[in-house]
Amino acid sequence: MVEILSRLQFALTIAFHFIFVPLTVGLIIIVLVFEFRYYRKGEEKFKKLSNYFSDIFLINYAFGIVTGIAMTVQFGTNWGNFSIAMGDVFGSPLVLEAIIAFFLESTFNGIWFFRRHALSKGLRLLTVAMITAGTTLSAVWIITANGFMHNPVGATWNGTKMVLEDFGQIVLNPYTWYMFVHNHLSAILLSGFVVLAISSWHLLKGKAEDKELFKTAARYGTWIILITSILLPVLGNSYLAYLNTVQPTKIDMITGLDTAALAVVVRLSFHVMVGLGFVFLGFGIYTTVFRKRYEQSPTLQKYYIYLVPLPYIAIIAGWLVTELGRQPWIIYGIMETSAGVSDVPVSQVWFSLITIVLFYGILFVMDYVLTIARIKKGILAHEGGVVNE
Amino acid sequence: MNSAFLGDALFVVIALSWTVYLVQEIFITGSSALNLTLAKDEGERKQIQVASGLHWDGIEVWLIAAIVLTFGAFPLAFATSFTVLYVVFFLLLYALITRGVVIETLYKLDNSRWIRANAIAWSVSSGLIVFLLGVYVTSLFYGLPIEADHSASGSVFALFNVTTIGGGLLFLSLALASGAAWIALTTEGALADNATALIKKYGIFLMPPVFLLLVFMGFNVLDNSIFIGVLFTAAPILFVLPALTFVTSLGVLYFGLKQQADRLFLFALLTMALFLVTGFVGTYPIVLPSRVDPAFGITIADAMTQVASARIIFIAVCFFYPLILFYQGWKYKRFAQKVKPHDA
Repeated sequence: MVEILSRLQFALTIAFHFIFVPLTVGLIIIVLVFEFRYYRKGEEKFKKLSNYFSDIFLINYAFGIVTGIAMTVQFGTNWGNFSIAMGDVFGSPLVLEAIIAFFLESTFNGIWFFRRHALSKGLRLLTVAMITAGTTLSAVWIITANGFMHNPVGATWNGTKMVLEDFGQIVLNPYTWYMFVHNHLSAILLSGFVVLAISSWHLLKGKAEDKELFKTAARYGTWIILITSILLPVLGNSYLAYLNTVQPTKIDMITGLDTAALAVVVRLSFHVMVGLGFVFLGFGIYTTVFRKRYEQSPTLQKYYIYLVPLPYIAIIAGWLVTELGRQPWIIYGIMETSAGVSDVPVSQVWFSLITIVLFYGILFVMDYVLTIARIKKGILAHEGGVVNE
Repeated sequence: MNSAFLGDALFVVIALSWTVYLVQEIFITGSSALNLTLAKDEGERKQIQVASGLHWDGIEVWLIAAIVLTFGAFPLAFATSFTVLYVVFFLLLYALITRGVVIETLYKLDNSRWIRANAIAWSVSSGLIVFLLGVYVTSLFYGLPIEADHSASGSVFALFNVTTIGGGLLFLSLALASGAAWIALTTEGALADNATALIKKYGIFLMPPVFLLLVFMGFNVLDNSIFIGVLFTAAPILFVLPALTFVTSLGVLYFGLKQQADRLFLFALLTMALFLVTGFVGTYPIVLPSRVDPAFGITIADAMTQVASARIIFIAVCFFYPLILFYQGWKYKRFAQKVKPHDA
């Protein structure tokens, strides 16, 4: 029972965390692009767009950063035996993630949140660049840890725990880099959809003086969707070819050779992800080619507002393929998930599971209300930070 | 770099991370907890929000660093302490999440009920964070309820006893004292003028020396005092550390009563730092002491990761810690302007 509840709890908390992660790691790259244009050309419209999308980034970042701690805590509370067995290998990427990435993003995020209005052009660009570097590096290191669980290279199992042999191999694990690029591209794609949806809302219902700005934002959103939706299947294909060599049981699930209930979920998820990938590609091409029609058509704009769930569904489906396809292994081919769980009373796990569901329910409503409220306010006269808010 | 050196070095690095974290966290949580009683209107509350909000998340990463460094360097100690203190860590997690969200979303909706509810949550979660950390850190020094097989002894509440609750209150009082001083030093106007006077009225300045003595007495913790560890036994000169800690806590009392915010701030931070140094010196070389029987404690050698991993972590720390201290120091300096009542 402890195992089932702990799995449920980890799945739930990481899924909740992952509502914010792809949105923020993608959106900050788009903000960086705006900020870079403002730095180079000094055009006010890019500063306004950067400030606007930064506000949406910051709300979601506030929820994303703190819900990430839930995973670190659970490695110790619920997955203690996994942590003991894996500590020698798993610990160092987590340390590197904290001291290389977390410090950077958090230190500069505080500046961007509270003192944006007091920054020069150069310092604005530096701050956003540091946050972007922090979020990107953070993804690299956590996927390094996760990549090892899928394709354990650079370490061996001595019967009771993993023993590190070559850290270089862990860092250069091909699985990690396929996964990182694939994940990051899908996060950027999702942010493209969010930018396009927000712009569509403003073209349809927003303030008249904001419309030109959101036409620009929509253009950026569309191009981002087009570029990432071309790259995703190209790289996804070689990712799949690589999986053939390292995770044969996952490939059996995807192709239908394995017909267990879990495998069917993996296979369906895979088809949902790939199907949506092609929808995104078609959508990207259509919207780029017929952009003028989109700008003048309230019908298209109305539909585009409701497209945001699609990239989320694709991301969740892809994730189910990756992580369910790994089962029953917690470290592929070496340690089963059931062996990793802590020796903890089941009543305590019930306590944490029930309270965290309630707590996260409240947080979700808060984030939703705040994000929508900020989106609808549109472009504000002030610089951001907390002045005149 | 052999195993013994790396084990000691990483013990020092973890102690350093806790110290750098807590020395800063006390004035962030303290000023946040005070928002309910101190701020007379939303303008003043916003001043507190900016003064502490600018730095809180960069500071909280020091906590994450201390935790993941324990994971990386001493996996057994990490897994054991979190499993044994399952419920406590979830409560701490909820408090950390609440504080982190609320400090940034406080004024994101123009609705007085929203702001009121968030201000209460901000204050309560901040107080809870620093209290629970006090209980936890004091237990790290005096022993956790751990059996020989590293399983938990007793109930969920076995962590709480006179000494650890005293530690929690010590942290809370240092937080309120340094938090009030932080507000006095970083804001302007009526808020800054009233900050330290208010907590003087409630007698908060008396608490640090009193609770410090209570914790140092180790009441109720039997033969597991922090002063019988190998270092205190080998070098009695080290007793200067607890003595200095007590002197600095008297400094908190003195400058608190005299209402000198800058010295009050300095002495509160010094008390925190010296208390932690005393505690870590006392527990060395035990990473996770047991309160059930000192022999059940987990030592550096028991929990140590392999040399190859420890070396990577140590080198990364040597390279990145100075860099982090540099850019966080730059941030304090660059944004040191006082927060005015109407430009918060």
